[in-house]
Amino acid sequence: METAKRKDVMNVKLSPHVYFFLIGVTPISLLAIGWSLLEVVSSSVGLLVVLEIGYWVYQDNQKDLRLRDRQKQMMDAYRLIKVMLMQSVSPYQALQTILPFVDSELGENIHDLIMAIDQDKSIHPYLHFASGFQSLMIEQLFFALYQLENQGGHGQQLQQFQYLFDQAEHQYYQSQLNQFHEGMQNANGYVMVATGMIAFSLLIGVMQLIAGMMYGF
Amino acid sequence: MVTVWLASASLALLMAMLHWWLLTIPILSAGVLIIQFALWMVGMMIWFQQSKKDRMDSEMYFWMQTYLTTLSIKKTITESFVNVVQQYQLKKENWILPFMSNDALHALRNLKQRFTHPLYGLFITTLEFYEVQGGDVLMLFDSILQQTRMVESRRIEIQTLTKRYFFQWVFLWTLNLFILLMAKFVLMDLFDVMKNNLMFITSITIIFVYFPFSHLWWLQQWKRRKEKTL
Repeated sequence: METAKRKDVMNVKLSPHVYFFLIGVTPISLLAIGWSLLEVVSSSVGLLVVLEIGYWVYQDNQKDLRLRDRQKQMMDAYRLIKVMLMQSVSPYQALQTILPFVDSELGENIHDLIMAIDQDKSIHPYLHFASGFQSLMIEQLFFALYQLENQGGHGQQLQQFQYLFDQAEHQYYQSQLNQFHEGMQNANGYVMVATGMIAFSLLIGVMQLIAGMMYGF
Repeated sequence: MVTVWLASASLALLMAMLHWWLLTIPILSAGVLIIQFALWMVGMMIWFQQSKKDRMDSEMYFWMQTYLTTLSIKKTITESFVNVVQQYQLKKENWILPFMSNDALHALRNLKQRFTHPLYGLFITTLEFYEVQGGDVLMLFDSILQQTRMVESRRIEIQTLTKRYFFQWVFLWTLNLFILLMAKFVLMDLFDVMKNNLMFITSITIIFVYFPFSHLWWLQQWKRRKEKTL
């Protein structure tokens, strides 16, 4: 959880440099080319508003992507947890066992959760961990894990989550597949840059030839 | 590795010859040859590594499937392992030999060096659990098998898409080079006039350097998207 928060703070800290550069350089440049103070102030405010909206949209998009990635990692981790629970291992031990097999960032979060459980046996560490995810499914899952840990039970009880997780997994896969199509179409589109350059080269050649014929260059 | 080297050298040589034929500037063509060779080498290495990784993951899937099917019948880890190894040796697949050990579980653990997918690690952990506690094999490994099946089916889908997009990329570049070739044949006089034009020389050379760059860009996109999708 700490790592994710640190990353958020770093992203926010990057923005002022861009702002200071653009908001600092633009008015000076505009004043240098002879714009009036009113024009400079109004265009700077306009630029600031556009930047702010753009940055907000970018941040929102990045946050959404990060949350979806984390949810996918958690769904992968859940499959591993389920394997361990099916072997009548307690949720606490299952979390410890899966640590080497999960993504490093999520691994750190799970490690923090295990440490928190060592100090606090209540439901709070579970809920605090689940609060880092967008979906309520994860919260329900960790609530169930807490109950299994403290009140006993069998991993079979987690079967209720299977359908929801399968659906979420399928949706995630479909969106990634769409992005795969989009990315590969873009990559192939870059070949067109060469096509444009060939056309440009030949155009220059023809123009030079015509100029030579007309003006004797 | 030799194949990668040969393929890169052949492609670079072909492109440099084409460049020389279009512009007849040997020094520039030599530069194009060196740059093309280096970039094609990098690209082919990435391609080779990714294909190897895909092959390993696919091999892991079939290995786990075969082993678990045998384990569900034989019930013991050692007997199942011996049986599967014999099956593989009958198929003349000897990659398993360097990982062999007197202890079957140890040999299976050794295979982690070959199968680096996280699911294999979990497979071993579950197998260790099975050795101590026993239980119904198919139920115990159900989730792992389901996960490997899903990953494998997705890999097959991505492979099909990769072939389609790569063919598109090759087709577009073939078309570009064909236009250049045709232009040289049809507009021979134009090329003679343009040979001394710096802008023309630069743009033709950039196109030839851009070719392997575009391959690297394509590979980078493909690798990133594939890893996210699988």
